[in-house]
Amino acid sequence: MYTAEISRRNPGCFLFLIDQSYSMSEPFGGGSFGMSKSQAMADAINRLLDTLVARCAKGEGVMRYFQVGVIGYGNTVGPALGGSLKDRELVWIDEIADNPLRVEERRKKESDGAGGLVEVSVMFPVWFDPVADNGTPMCQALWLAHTILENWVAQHPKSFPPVVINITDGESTDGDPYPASAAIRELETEDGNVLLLNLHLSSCRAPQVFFPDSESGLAEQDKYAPLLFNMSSHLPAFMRSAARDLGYTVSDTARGFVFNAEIQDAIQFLDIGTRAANMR
Amino acid sequence: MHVSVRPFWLPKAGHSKEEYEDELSHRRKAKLRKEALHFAIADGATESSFSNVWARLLVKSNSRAPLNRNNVQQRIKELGKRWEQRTAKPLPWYAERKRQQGSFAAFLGLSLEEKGTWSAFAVGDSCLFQVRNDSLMTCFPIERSDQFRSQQLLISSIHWKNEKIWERLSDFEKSGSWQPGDVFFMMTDALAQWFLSRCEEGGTPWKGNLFTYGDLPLFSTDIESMRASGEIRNDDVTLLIITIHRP
Repeated sequence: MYTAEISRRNPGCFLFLIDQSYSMSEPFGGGSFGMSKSQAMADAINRLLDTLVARCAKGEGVMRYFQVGVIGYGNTVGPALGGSLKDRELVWIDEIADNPLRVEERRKKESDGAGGLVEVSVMFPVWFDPVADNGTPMCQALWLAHTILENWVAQHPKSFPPVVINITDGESTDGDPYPASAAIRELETEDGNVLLLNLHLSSCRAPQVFFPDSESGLAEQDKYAPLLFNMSSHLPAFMRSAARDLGYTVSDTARGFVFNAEIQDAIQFLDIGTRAANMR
Repeated sequence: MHVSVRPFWLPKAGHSKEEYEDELSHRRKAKLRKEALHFAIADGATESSFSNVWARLLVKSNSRAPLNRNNVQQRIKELGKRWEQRTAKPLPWYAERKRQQGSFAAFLGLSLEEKGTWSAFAVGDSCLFQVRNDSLMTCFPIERSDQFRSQQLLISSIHWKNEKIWERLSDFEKSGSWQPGDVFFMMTDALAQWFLSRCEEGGTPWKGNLFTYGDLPLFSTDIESMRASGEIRNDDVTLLIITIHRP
């Protein structure tokens, strides 16, 4: 299981569910990071899309290795990419490459090759802008993901199963999201069940929990943490290995869940969740 | 001494011939005289852009004069400049950014000398096997099937990215002797890993149909069914079979 090649014949699929509720406008864990959670997550998603484009760029074009969707949930629930990708639930990675909203110029420090640092300008394509408004209709978002992926797995029965990454900083305001999450995890291709990973962003100065294998102790941190843990898939071997490479302690029964993540953890979580085991 | 060469190649399943990123150079038939005979294969990395251009530059250059530990640094520097020229064109932002990261390829070159010796230069996981009287005499540069990893040291078109290769150049060179009747197999990684696995199980894969075919279609059919059954990874496959005939 989870060994199917990812190729143009058997493309992969990543679906991101992004909490756009009002609380996402607050800063990370007690304000240790100046930027709002929504802005930081928009940057992280844009960086990730950029990485996926780079991974699939080949010669003069981009190979159709992946389809990608970004679903926002807050004031409304639906596709969250803008510009010419607006209102589309899933788009091919080459369409992502060709249709950023804009390309910003940002500054970053790089080694000057002589032991020092030099500031250089880099291109930062933006596909997704931050939004933070209203409640957290997570159930609606999960059921929309289920509908999208039910069709996808039927059309791609031999593909590596889709990976869904739900990013939230709080509780669902439209009911119990567990049944929808279970329905997503029950979807499958011949290579395995759909993987649902949950990234809980830090709202307070509480201990962080990375890839736990039991819910013990989570309830003391946050009453919703056990629910998000139980909503999360077990990590397949190649993701466990990727997490260990990044320095996390991960047991063989670890789940794809991080509680109270800071931004750098969020970026690493996205990296682990979107590793392609067998890209051809 | 007469030498015959049988070349085989096949793009990975789902890819067109134009997308094949390996390269090979050889002569069909030759006589070993004073001048050594040179053969090469290169396997352009899937993860980099314009890998086929880089693989081609490496093998074409080797066919003019073989790469070895003494000349490789200077030669790669020159070839890198040519790769840069050949790939410089107006490109979309993502393609240009990827191009600037350079291309990578595994390389294996073999030279046969009339005096009964051979020398090989290899960086990466393309392999040379020498068979004599149904015994495997040489495996180079990889000796066990579990040594194939996704992170191999490969030759980059960007000179400074090859520092780790320059640090241990002697590891990439090997020499030996040949006798009439010897057969040399040069192959890219997916097939080489399968070949070594069969040897480790006590088999003699070189006696199988795959290595006795005279034409490409039969070879291709067998490789396709091996891919479908999961016996070998879905990757570009390149094979040169070089036989030194008895007088």
